[in-house]
Amino acid sequence: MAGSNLARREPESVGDFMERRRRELAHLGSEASAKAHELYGKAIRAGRDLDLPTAGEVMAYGADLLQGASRRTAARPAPPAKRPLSRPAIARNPRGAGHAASAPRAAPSGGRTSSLDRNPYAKAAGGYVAMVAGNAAGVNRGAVHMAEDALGAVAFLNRLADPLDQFRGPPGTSAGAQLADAGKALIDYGASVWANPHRVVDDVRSGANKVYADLVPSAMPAADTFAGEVGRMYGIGKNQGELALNVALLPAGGEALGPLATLRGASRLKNATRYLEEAGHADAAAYLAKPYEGKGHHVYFPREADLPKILGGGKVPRFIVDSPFNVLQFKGLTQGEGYALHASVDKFANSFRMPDKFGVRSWRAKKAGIDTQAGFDRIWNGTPEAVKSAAGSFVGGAGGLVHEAFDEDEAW
Amino acid sequence: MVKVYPYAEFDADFPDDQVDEGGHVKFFPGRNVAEAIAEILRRTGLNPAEPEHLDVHGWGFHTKFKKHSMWIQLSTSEDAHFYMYTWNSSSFIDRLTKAAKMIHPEFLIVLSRELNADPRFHGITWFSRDDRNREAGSAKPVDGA
Repeated sequence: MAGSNLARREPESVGDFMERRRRELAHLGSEASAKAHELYGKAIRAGRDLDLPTAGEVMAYGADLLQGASRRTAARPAPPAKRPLSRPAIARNPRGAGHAASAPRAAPSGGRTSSLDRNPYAKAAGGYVAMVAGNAAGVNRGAVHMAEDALGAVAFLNRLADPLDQFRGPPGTSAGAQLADAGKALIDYGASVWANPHRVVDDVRSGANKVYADLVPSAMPAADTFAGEVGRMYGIGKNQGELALNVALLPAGGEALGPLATLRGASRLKNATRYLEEAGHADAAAYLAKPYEGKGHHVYFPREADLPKILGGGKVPRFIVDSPFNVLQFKGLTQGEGYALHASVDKFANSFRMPDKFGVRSWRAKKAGIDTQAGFDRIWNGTPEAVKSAAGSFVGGAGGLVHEAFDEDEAW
Repeated sequence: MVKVYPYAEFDADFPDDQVDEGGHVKFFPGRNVAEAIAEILRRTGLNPAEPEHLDVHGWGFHTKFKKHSMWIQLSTSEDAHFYMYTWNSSSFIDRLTKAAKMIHPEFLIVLSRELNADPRFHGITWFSRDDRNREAGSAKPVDGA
């Protein structure tokens, strides 16, 4: 391990630095600076270690890159090996071999460490800040993934329903072929499990190891350098953020997924109060344009549902009846939109009384052009968002396990 | 073949008992009508529960009929015009037998007879479950019994 260059150097004054930087810039040009900073940024985002302690060395590194002769070892990619569940003994072997793949190490040769790299408190503090920043980024990434998944699923279903899909691309790339391949892979996996029952245990353990290392900072030792530790913790923070978003949407998915769920009938819902305006009841229409206030629609267990006699009879407990898994919420909708959606999925909701102060007694579904739906529309629009989220998580979780079993990719 | 019409529309001579508070509906109307129907059933020897508020759905109550739980729900949109929905709210398991399936139609026959005999209720029309928009009504809740 090389010593620190900074430790050997005299402290550089601001004036010296500015003068040196001016000369370097004049010599190397802005192109080298841009190239070096671009790669430096990539290395930081990837959690890799780029040993360039001064701005001048950044410039020099960029110049080397432009000349095609890098004289310095830059980012070291993370090896794809499986990572152990248990944490290596850092205290006994702080720089020892066998460290986790995801923990970036010091530059392998000729690398220099800064005082920040040698200070565990600084690295811990920097790592914590990076992890918090990663949490926010992870939430964003989760939302993007969720939207991509939804759009991807819709596109895949559309392709599956398209009889010409098999002719639109190279052989074996149609949605049907992909579905068949997935089924074949599942069958093959089942056969391999039949031959080696321990494979399931191994695969689950392997997946658990990976998830543990991706989410828990202490699962892996800290990186050798400050920049490496910041990168490592930032990645863990992003994973945590995305996981938190997915978990949060399980009970409260309505707000996030509600707009998607009602997308099909959005324009119809928006126009649900137009007939009131046209009839001269603008005040009533304005009342219905306010955010929805109500308890929603009880879908599976109506409030009056009884338990079977063999379970003691009596009413189904309120915590079940009023559970988010049983109540279709109208969060994010206006009162009028909520009424329209309610009427479209509930045959007992054809009209809703208005407060007496308006000149109209009620909002009526028939006058608004809302019919009670049937078939898939009613099932889809009438399913509580918590149920949709749970079903999606179940399918996603199962898909994730299958993916883990087949895929060696380290990306999470 | 027995055809059942478990839902009804009718006019009822009762004052509007909606209660507003703070610019919103606090209690939707129909409590007085639900209480009147419960009283009618009480006179036939049944023991209905007190009507409960169901928010936008109006008012509803249970009554036991031949050891099964019957549910009656009243809601209204315009003055004096009411919708009544009834069903056997016993659990799915308890409704599996053929004899159990006939209990709700039997209850509807009793309910229809008593409502027709009360001068406060007019123009009672019954509708089937499948008639979502209530277009093909019947004067009787059960045909072919």
